Amino acid sequence: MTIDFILNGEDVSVQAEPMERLVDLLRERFKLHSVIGDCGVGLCGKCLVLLEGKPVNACIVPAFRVRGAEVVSYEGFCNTEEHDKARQALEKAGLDLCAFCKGAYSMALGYLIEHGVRFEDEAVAELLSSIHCSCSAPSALLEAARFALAEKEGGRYARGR
Amino acid sequence: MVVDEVASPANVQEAMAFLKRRPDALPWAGGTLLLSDDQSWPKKSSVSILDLHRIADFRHVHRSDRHLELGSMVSLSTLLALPKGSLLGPLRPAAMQLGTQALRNLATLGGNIASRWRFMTCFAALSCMDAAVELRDSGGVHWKGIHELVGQDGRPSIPMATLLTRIRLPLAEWDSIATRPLGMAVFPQQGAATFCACARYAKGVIADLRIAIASTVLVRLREIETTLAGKRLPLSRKDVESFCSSLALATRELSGDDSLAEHAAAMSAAYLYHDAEYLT
Repeated sequence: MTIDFILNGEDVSVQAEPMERLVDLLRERFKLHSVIGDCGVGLCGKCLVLLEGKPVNACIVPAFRVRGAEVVSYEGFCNTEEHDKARQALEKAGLDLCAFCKGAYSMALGYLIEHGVRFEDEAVAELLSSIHCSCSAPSALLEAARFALAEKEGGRYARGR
Repeated sequence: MVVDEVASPANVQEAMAFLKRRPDALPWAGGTLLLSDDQSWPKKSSVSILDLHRIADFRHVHRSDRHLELGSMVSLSTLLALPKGSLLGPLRPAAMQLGTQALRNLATLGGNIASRWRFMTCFAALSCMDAAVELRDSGGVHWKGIHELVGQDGRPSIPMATLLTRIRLPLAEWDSIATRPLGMAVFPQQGAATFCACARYAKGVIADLRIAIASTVLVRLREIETTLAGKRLPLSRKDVESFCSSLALATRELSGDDSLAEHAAAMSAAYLYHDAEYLT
């Protein structure tokens, strides 16, 4: 079937089997290798993309589901202001994430920044815990989230330190 | 599995027209279970899919004085984002038990209920809450109790060529709630099961107690629950053991799973001995 959708801001069209997984579609047809299919059941979070603005696991999204939808991968997210803020926050927290999780964590942080989530909200830990990687400690990632969201809220949390 | 046709209707009428033409079509809500568990697919060589995500009517949330009505395509993330005072009772922790936030952005309440070969995390909670579901088929729209989706053998019994369109939750306050995974398996692994209990107390006496176990079968023993109503806390050892042995027996008979029966009895005992007493 023909799958027409918006990928990283551009209209794209591709022939795919209805049940082909979005993670395979992005990696094999569009060569977007930031999206990593690891567990295949929506647990590890390394295939995180934004579907209609929400973070989802691309390994449990079938191709037919993205018809007419907007998908953003890390390659598209790199061009946004949120990416710069997320990168600065990760640097400030002293984090050097591995290639497997960098895209997913950056997009998760960017999503939190964009949606004005407060650091106290359980959504922060909830979303960050959607991504499983042993390259960095969860406490360091929370620290990065705190820096990122402090920036958003005019340094409120930075002052608290 | 070969998918020979995918329909993505924009409204309920189009969806029903497709179901009339293809009564064996597989309704697709979030699809998180279908894509992570091969057993949830129909045992056929080819299948047609009815993708429901474009139907805006299925994503409405409406609250009245007595009920909260949720469209079947309300995602678990949307459900969890409802205000804490929404009286979701055991449903909130049940929804939290499924996967991660990224997964819950896809997973829907309707999909959680309508799994055809096993009960997912929310079913035990909805059973305890005595929720109702709106089903739509060629004969019209019908409201049914959630337990009508459970067959005589305790297994899921969702009619074919039928859409689950809304879920109605009675708004009720509970004094104690417990929703826990049973055993070592977690969804989507085989053998994953959920324990759910909720109770109301009045002056140290059990006014209402409900306990449900959901795995491949649903176990809820209302007649045994009523035997504990009116009992003063802490419950006697005899009362707890009697309840737990009845629950274990029913779980073993329905599921044929000794391990699940033991876990169910142990979790119920923990709830009745400790949670209930502590939270009173």
